[in-house]
Amino acid sequence: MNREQETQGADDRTLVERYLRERSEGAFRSLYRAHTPYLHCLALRLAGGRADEAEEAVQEAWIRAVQRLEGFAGRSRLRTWLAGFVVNCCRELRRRRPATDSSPRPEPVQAPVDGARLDVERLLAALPDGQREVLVLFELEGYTHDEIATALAIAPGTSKSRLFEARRTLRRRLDPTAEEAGG
Amino acid sequence: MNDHDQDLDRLLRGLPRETSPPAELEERVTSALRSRGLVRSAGSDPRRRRESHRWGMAAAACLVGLLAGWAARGVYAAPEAGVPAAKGNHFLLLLSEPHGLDTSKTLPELVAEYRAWAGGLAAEGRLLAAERLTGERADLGGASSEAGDATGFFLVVADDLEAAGDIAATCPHLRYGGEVTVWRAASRDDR
Repeated sequence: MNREQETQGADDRTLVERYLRERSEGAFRSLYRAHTPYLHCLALRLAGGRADEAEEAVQEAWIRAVQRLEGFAGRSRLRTWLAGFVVNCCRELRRRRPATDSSPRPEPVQAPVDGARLDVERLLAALPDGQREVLVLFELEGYTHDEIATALAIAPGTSKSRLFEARRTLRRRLDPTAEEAGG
Repeated sequence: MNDHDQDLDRLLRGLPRETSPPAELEERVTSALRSRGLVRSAGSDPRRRRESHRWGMAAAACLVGLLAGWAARGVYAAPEAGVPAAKGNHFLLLLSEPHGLDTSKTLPELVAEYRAWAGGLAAEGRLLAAERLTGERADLGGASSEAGDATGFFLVVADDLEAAGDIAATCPHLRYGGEVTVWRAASRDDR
């Protein structure tokens, strides 16, 4: 753990202790504001840019997390612990989504970025749900395949193959000549 | 790892890790927690209570009355053109403020806030009626404390109790220490 993470950990402990002591709206809002920009970004990405679904996931994740906050042992970073709830909620919402979901392709996660990055966001959103979830968790969130397998209720081998497919799809779409060169 | 893999990794690493969630999400989440008793409302926070002005029962009743007047004229009697009434069950959102409303906002500001909230329901065809309760009542067979405390109501359409609770959780009344109780009206299935 580096110095920045140690500082963040201390801040998180202070915020959690204050909430558990006061149970006040103000204490919760401090926690919310410290972590929701990250959680919302994660949810939006996992949901393939579906804003409504991402917001619902964040809301449900906070409800579940607050109900269990007393049991947060601090073995992991608070952000990582909270992200687990978001991952679960996104997965549940995806399962409830109609199989014939014909909603228009959502806008990608918004950020003032260059064209290449925007392209990646669009391509991520266009990936099949299973591939996108694995790619986001492995490449961006640093989960291991075993952790992904537990979080998404799939086999570790499935996680590996989905990651392989996701990367290949992205490479191919970013640069159509990559298929011949990179396979 | 070839150049294409490295390019992809570079692009993925460069993705933003945070977004700006919509401001209303914070209110929705906080309201949801409040309605579940997981956070105490700002009105019950003793430090904020000292800093803010507490609206008395009369002011609160006035607020609900103003809203009810608007609702009766603009929504109940003449629903918005082109907005069909939503289908679903009927739920009574019973408003009370046993400790008054705790806020530093002015009455016009509060009215505007409640009006915007009710307007959203009306636009979705979910608001059937709203009215102030006068306090004039008859207690038969023993008084109910909940009914006794009520100062106004909204009659809304929702799929089920959970959905009605979600509507109630967004009511501005909760933000200021007011209370909202949700009752499901009997439907044909209950008869």
